[in-house]
Amino acid sequence: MENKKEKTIKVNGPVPERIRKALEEKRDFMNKVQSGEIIFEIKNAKRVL
Amino acid sequence: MQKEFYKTYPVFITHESHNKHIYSFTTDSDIVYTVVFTRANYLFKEECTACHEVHEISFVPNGDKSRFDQSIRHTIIDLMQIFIDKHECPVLYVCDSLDLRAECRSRLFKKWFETSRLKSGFKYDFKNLVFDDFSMKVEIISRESDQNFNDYFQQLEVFG
Repeated sequence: MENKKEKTIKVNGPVPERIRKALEEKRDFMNKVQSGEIIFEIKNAKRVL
Repeated sequence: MQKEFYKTYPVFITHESHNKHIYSFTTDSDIVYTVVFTRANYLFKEECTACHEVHEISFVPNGDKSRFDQSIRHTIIDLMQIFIDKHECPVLYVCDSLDLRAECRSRLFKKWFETSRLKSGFKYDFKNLVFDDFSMKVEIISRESDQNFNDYFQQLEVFG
């Protein structure tokens, strides 16, 4: 069984700005994809699987 | 126990650049899933050259029409395997406390790995990072032969 304590690391201080900004940008992009604001065209795209 | 029928959807690459690889597939319910792989450099110390190749996976259905379908899991797992093999890189998944679905998705991802074909020939590990104002779970999957696997967590930038 996994030792949850070993897997959890307390980091003193707030999350670094670089990480927070990157996570927010990722979420913003994925939300735009989900809402249809950004669309990727499957037609004529190469099949890989 | 009834054996699970293994079906995957056709997957197409819809965008490819140095930092971003985007794939799309359509389910039997006409839901389009977008799977995005991006370099996860922002998480690691710059001097870690092995970390430069680590990619982060994210995926969303279009709209809010998501419904239970085993083939979605099979498709994403198989795509992840193809991506890891093609790019010879580990794949990482991040759940953070700003996303209300994070814990749910995190458990889902772990379960996917443990019950998938990836379990053979691949390694999985995770860490929960708890900051004063924020928490995030970082999960990594890589080939069993990846000599750097144990270094990735030590090279996270948050460890200075």
